[in-house]
Amino acid sequence: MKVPYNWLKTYIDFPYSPEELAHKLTMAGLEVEDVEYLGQGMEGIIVGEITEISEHPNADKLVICQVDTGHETLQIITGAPNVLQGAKVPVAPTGVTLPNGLKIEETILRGKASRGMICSEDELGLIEERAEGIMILDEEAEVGTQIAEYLARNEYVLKLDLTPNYARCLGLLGIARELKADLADNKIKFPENNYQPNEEQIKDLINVEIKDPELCSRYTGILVKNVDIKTSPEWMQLRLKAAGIRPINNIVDITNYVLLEYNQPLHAFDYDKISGRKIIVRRASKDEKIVTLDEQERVLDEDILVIADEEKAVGLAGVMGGANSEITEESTSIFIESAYFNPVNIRKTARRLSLPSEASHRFERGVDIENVLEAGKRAAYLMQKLAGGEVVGGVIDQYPVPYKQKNIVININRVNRILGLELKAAEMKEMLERLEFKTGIKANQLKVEVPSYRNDVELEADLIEEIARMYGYNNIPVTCPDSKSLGKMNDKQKLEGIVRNIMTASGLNEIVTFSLMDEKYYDLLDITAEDELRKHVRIKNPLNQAFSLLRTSLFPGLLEVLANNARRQVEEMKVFELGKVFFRAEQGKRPREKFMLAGGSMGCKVDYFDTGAPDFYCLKGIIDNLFNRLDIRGVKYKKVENSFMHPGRTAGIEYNGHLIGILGELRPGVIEELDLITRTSIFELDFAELLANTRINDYKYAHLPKHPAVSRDLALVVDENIPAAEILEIIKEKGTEILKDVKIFDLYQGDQIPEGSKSLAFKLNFQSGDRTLIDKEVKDIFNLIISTLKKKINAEIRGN
Amino acid sequence: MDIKEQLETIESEARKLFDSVKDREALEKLRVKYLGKKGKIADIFSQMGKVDSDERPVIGRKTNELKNLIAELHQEKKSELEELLKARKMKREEIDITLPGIKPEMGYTHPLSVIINEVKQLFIGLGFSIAEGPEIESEYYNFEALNIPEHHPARDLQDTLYIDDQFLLRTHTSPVQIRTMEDKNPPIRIIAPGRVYRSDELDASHSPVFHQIEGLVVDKDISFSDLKGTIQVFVEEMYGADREIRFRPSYFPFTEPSAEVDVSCIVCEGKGCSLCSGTGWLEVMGSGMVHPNVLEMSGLDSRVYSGFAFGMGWDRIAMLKYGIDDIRVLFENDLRFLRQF
Repeated sequence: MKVPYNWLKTYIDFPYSPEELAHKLTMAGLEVEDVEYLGQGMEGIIVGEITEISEHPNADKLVICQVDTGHETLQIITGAPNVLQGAKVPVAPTGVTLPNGLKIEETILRGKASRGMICSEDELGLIEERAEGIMILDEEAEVGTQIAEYLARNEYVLKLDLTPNYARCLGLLGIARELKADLADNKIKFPENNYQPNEEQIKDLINVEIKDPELCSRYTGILVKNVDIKTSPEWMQLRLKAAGIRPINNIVDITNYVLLEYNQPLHAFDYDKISGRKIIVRRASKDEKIVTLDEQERVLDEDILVIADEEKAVGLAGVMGGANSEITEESTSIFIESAYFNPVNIRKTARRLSLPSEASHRFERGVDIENVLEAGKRAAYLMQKLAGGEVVGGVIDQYPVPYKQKNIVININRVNRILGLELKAAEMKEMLERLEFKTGIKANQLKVEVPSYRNDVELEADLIEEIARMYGYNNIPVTCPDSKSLGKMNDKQKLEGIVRNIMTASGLNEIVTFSLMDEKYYDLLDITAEDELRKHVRIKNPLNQAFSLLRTSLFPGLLEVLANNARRQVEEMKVFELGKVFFRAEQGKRPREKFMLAGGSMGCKVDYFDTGAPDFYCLKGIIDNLFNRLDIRGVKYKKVENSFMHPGRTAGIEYNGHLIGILGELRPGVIEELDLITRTSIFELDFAELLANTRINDYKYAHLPKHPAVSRDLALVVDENIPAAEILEIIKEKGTEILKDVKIFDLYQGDQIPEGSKSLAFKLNFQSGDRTLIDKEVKDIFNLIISTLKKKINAEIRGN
Repeated sequence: MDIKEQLETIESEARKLFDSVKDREALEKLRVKYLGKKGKIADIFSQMGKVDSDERPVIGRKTNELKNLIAELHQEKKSELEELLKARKMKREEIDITLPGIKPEMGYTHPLSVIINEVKQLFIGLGFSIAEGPEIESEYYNFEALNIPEHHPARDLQDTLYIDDQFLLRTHTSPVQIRTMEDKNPPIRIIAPGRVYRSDELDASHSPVFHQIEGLVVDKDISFSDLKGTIQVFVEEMYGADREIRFRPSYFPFTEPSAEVDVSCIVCEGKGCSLCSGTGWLEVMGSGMVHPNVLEMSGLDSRVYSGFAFGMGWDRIAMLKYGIDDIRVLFENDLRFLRQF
């Protein structure tokens, strides 16, 4: 809603500057987004008169003008073809900056000084295209007047962003009422609407039937004859333009003008185009068609309310008129409709037909049903005054569902309790009455009559807000609620923090990516139609392809981040993300949401065992640390395959016999496609599994051993296909409980050992909690380990 | 020279020599010279036979004193020379302390997490718990239970992404209010941080995916002044104690009275700049007293209980706090960006 400051001032006098008004309204709940000065950039440009023109001695196309600006005479040189002695013109003296940013400076043109500029319309910012010559003003223009004032541009327009509960302020009178609450002595100056009717009676010329009172609970009409259709007066056009409405002709402009005054949409029908002199307010029939004012044919149905005559629909009630009853230059008799339509029905129609309009916007928020006729009369008055119309006596007023006065009883104690105040009944009454709520006091209750234009007020809570508003939100004291409760996080939230710390401590950077994604990622990763990852949830009304479905894995977002960084010459990067993924459920069931932890590494430089898979082992170490820290024991890595990971370098992460995650290097094809660094590896873990299996809350202190440890190294040569885990398992099993720890510290493949085999070196640590181990004990066990390894996996012991 | 004179000469000579000795070898020679088996002290003792028997104890004591003194001189010098040696060694070990240190690889926390951790700690300190809810919501929880009926103009305030006729992506974290009130009896005191979705094109100030933090307090006798107090604590903690706060009437279907909370601009301090569009104020959150209809729909008696709720953009807090002027930066995860937090 655009509110012209000076126009608003005609309804109530207020002592505020435009900026103060903006602040006042904002603090009353009517947020002002912006204040625009229409004369922006015209400051300093004034009306001047060309008193003398002489030829320029050194240039054929230039003339020297003497221009009177009221307090001085300026010599200005111009080349404009339409320059004329005695003409009133806009003058920008030296020092003024034009709306287009050009600063006027004193110049010498071919030896003659020029001390200003005579402006054209485009230079004033009035038109877009270039003007032929300078702008010639009316003869009556007063020399010395600011051009902004002369052009009625001396107006400020406040742009209001109104929330639905301030719908009443979609009319200037509504805003005036808001201001009135703080200006007890000032009266609202309601617009004149007393016209002089002629001798005829409207009921003899037209009648109205409402077929569906539920959708139209009041319909009023006034008939104006013999109007002269022309452009409306300048002042009205300027006000409409300032409010953002394009002037059309006097009749249409009057309906718009009254709309902006009263927040009541009106419609003007060409009376002569209404067949049977009858208006019928009815539901459309199925597939009924109408061409609306915007020349679009609309197909209707029973849910849509139309205004019809005996033969056809002539308008979509409350949304847009029909072309068949439109006002044209030939129109002479106007039927003014002012009505109240059901807000929900109007909203549905406007949405269905994608036809939001100034009218539907207001009807769907509810207009003041009691003031419907007043607005119609105002339009009739203006048509009589500005279009020479003859208003027919009497009015049509069908009011099948009369307005019921709304009364609300409020409890004073509760109001005070909710606001944290100690107001007396009389104080509350005074505040509410400033807002035109009639209020009676009875014991500790107030009985409040809600004015008809306040359809936003339904409950005690609504009146509490009004009292708070009047008291001033910022005057309400500041307290803190008593609390006996202990603030805390649940186990999942705590674990999330722990995991985040472990990840960052391991050198992984946290990323946050969109959970909406492009399906192309699944194609890029060659994910098959049957794959679980394709059980995604699709958005019904996506913005675009890039945000068309919900992710089923954190991988696509993570890979995009790695790829984008790789393209920016990042050579090494480790990342992780904690976030939700979503899976489709059966029809009608809520999709599943899973919280996941994913990570990725590219360009890792550390490769202890020269495996050529540094990123894989880097992530694996981090995951192992994580399980260790969360006290999740017995996690196993099993070879698995999927479409986007390297078949020889991918592990399913298993716990208690089921898969809780995956870790692997990307397939070379995927790496190439995404411009990733070679060997980029990723993992994903189901967070719920971490939460279910962690024993982080059951930590018990283990006594530190008092007896010395014995360490033994063991180097084996085995077939290269034997997994390290298998060897470790044998060593641990045979090592008995005195083998406290075993680590692999070297891996070798090469010339020193036979082809197809590998050498692994282990460090074994033996220790007992209750005694010092004797040499023989350790030796026996160590030898048993060796013999078992020889037997079971055909291991050859090196350096033995 | 009699023995007394000898003793005096030895003492003054020894003092001079021990004082001027420069290295350990010379010091050792000195020690032998005075304290050795054939040294000067031994020599004195060997002359003891010639001394008168009545003077012998005096001379003997003096000689012993001199022996001790020389031993002391030797010890002092020895320590001194050792210290000197250590100092020299350390001098040789001097390094260039301006060379860069060795940095273990460190991961950084995303700014959104940094912010939410701060917010959580703050509210936990105020007795709040952390609640969560699904991101895929039903119409009921996202709208109806929040007093936004199907054909209410308030639905225009948010552009919704739908899954089907039944489910949608939550447009705000407010459904968690309803879920909490349904699950739990007052006193209720929660914040609910989470991800929300709108049908907004991605640009510098909009994102289809963003984050909110919801707050809800329900109990007997909770007032608007309690709302103001709680929000004030939050604002002072997050934006600085010298921020001005103003509450202005606004509209949310699920609160009544409703208030928008503005904070004096963190850049211009109220003078007006591009960040605050010249107003001097920044909108930081919406808030209000829980609407009685919402309490009732969630199964709470609005005559017994009252409450307040607030909601704010979590990304916006990060942007304001760190001076980030483009929301997309938060989701791009450029390493150079991540390493700043």
